[in-house]
Amino acid sequence: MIKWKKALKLAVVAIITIAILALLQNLLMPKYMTEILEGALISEYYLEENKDHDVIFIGDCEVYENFSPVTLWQEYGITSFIRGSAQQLIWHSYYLLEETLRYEKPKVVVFNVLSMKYDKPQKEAYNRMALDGMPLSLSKLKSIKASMLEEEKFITYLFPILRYHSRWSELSAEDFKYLFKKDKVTHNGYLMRVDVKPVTTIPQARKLANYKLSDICYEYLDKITALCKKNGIELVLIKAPTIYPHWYDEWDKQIEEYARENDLLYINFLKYTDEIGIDYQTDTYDAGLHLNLAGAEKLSRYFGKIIQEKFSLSDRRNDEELSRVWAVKEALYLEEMEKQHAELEELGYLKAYNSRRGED
Amino acid sequence: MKNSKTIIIIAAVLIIAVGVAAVVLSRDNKNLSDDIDNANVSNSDNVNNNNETGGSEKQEDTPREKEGYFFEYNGVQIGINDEAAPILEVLGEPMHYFEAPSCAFEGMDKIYSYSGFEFTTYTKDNVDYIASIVFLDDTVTTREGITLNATLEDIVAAYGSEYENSFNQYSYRDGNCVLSFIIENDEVVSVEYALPEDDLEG
Repeated sequence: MIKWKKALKLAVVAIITIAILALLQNLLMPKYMTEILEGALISEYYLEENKDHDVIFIGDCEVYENFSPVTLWQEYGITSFIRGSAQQLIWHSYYLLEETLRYEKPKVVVFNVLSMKYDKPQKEAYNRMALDGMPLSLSKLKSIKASMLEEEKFITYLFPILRYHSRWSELSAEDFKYLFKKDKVTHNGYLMRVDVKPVTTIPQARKLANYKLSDICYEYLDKITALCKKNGIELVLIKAPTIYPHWYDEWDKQIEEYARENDLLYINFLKYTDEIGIDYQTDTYDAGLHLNLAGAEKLSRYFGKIIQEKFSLSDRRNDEELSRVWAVKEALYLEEMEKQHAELEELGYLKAYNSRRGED
Repeated sequence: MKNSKTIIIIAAVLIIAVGVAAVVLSRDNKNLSDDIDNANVSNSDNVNNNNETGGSEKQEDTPREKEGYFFEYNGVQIGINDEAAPILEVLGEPMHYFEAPSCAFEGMDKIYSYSGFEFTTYTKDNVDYIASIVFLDDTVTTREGITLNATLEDIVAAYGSEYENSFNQYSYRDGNCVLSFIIENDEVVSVEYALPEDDLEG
């Protein structure tokens, strides 16, 4: 009896200690709610109640800024989610897809190929944005291993408090407000921007010593292709129609060849900007690096038609349950659109993306 | 009573262990918020200490003896890690200016194009520094006389044979600058002054 009591006490203390540490960890981790919203993207997927999407996008900012799932729903009755993150590299994308398939089996996976230009991890902050939001899983562990820079420590991804402990002096009201529950910052992974900054000049592309996309990237592209084939999923490779960083013809040819060899659809939207109707004077918020809402909706309309016809995706707008779910999403989308327009009118810029202006 | 003490000690040891681990790990890890603040280019953390060339002095005041490779245009010396503002002041309005905000972060890469060349900057502590200089045509030359359309023989004659070769790129490193030439069909098609890659990965 005494032994049981002792064990019980130990267990209670252990639980309390772990709970305190977990609470501290939650407090110290960045919340990404009022600035650098991109850090909140990955975790939002797990909040989705109905993980039944026709299309899953994976990739970097060229997916989460350039495609609108709400437009795909409104125009074609296609359900989709964007599992994008800032500078998501191809190994992030692969393991994210592997993990996503534990939750659902989409009919189509769309991968943006810009990250094929990076053959090694670039920056810890981007790793954090891709990895910290994932719950613990084998896929996450493998992704951490593939992504880490030399100076990073594996254990800090398992116990982020070991990485973020120094934030205690930077804690703000945001950290306490969103300690237990965060707001959604995206619309099925789409990060909305309604502001406009026209293209005025396009930098000359710099010559490269070597245009061959690296073996490690092909290795992961092969894995993505194989994973999709194994699960009966159509893989679509895309290059978003953004003008910087430069997408070289030499790279494009290699992706075209890969798509041909593997019987995949590859669309370089840079070749179809007129057909899509993109106007770089009005449809981009940062002079051509990313599309704004107007551009993302145009691109989604164009792309939705292609995938619906090519892969016979059914129009699900007649599904009452789904329609109810998406009606809520549409309302939130509209609400944010109006909020951003009002903010632009009042301030001339969007607070979430210009939070430091006031400090200057 | 004894049991309670043991339990409290175990809990305290656990918390202290986490604290110690955090401190030990933080010795190796730079602050992530620094990354976020300086993420307009990935090299910012390492380049600050290299900025010893006194870039903040005005170009027209005192011509200085710069070390390592640097570019000279109309008497204006432009070196990697030099502060951009005094150089821009002397060069005047660029023909083209392009800015590329980094995904997710504050700050941005800035590209200033002048006749024959362009340079990019990175930002550290709200100050812009030169990150790279690239020739756009053959109207400009390196201080050692190499221009676009030169040959590998010209390069070796000017800089020696101690280059690093990767594919068709030939690079010379001097201090915190790497001067690279790309050759296609026996002709130089690219001349670039840039930060060394190990700085870029910082």
